[in-house]
Amino acid sequence: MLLDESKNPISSASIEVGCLSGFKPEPIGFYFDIIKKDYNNLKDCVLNVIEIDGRIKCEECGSESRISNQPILFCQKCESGKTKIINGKDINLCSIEVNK
Amino acid sequence: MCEECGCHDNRNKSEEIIINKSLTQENDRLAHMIWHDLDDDGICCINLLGAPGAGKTTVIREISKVLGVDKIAVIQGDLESDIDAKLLADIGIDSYQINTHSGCHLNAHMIMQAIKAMKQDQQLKGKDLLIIENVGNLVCPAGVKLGQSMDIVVSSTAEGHDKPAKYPIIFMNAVISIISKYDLAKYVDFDESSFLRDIRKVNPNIVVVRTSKDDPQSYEKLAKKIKEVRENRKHHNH
Ligand SMILES: Nc1nc2c(ncn2[C@@H]2O[C@H](COP(=O)(O)OP(=O)(O)O)[C@@H](O)[C@H]2O)c(=O)[nH]1
Ligand SMILES: [Mg+2]
Ligand SMILES: [Zn+2]
Ligand SMILES: [Zn+2]
Repeated sequence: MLLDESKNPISSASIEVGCLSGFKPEPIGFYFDIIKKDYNNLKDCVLNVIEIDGRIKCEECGSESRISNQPILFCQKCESGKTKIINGKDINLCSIEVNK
Repeated sequence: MCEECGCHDNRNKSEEIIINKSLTQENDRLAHMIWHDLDDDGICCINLLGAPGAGKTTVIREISKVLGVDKIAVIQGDLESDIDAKLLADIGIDSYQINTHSGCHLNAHMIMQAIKAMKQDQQLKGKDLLIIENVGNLVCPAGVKLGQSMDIVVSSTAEGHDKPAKYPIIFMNAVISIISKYDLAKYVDFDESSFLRDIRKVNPNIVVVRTSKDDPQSYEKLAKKIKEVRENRKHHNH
């Protein structure tokens, strides 16, 4: 687990969940609150999980479109289906705040 | 608590550390190693996905008859039992059964262990394809890297035409969509145009193939499509 690498208490951690990653913020927060009790340095950690929009780039017209609720991968400008996902498939631990 | 005055304000006592690491990086690293390992041996790995009972094992059995049972190895993922492994062994296909117990999908570590065991038993020698039959599930296996060159999703007509609308992520990541039990389409009011419209919304370039158990030619077509896709993707995957 990435979060227990630091020996000092971690007061907060932030995670970004891409809307195309298959993960959702709510269950991550739910399970984190359960497992954090087992780690001394995570006991008081507040987890901030935010969902971020996806982005696709059109290979026909070059424009980029944003995706949020539904994963519809057509270019929003020219409606071409030849698009590439450039963002939104990952789940990242961005930063942690450690008490000194 | 603040050590200087005993207050509960620790604003100045903490330090922000930027990490920016993917939480799936360990799995993805193993998957990358698997891909290379198989590629060195000339083996292409397919991740076969679909709901329980969609027809995944049937598809494997039928395309193996077309492509040659000695060219294909299979990793089976099920919660319990070795029923599918036996079904494959019956027709001479080498397979390795993973039982995940309560686990809802396979991960790269499980695949790595399975490959290791198969290699020890010489089960990958001379093979062309390694097919992973994932745990029957349209949600959790989506997007999990296993070292595969492509995802193929099997949806049977009996599940209804609304599956791409309801489980878009798994269809978004797939290269081929198999509409299985096509022989049953007419009995279960399968609205194919609606299925195709929804699947193209999330994956405009997906290749759709229809299969029926009573139609051997449908599996020949599928095998041909798999070969084509494999050829096309040779230079730009993993
Ligand atoms: N009518 C019909 N039945 C099929 C077809 N493909 C599979 N089945 C049946 O559907 C059931 C589930 O198939 P199976 O391959 O085990 O599904 P899996 O759970 O996805 O591996 C079995 O009883 C198969 O015989 C098909 O094309 N047509
Ligand atoms: Mg099966
Ligand atoms: Zn466009
Ligand atoms: Zn699950």
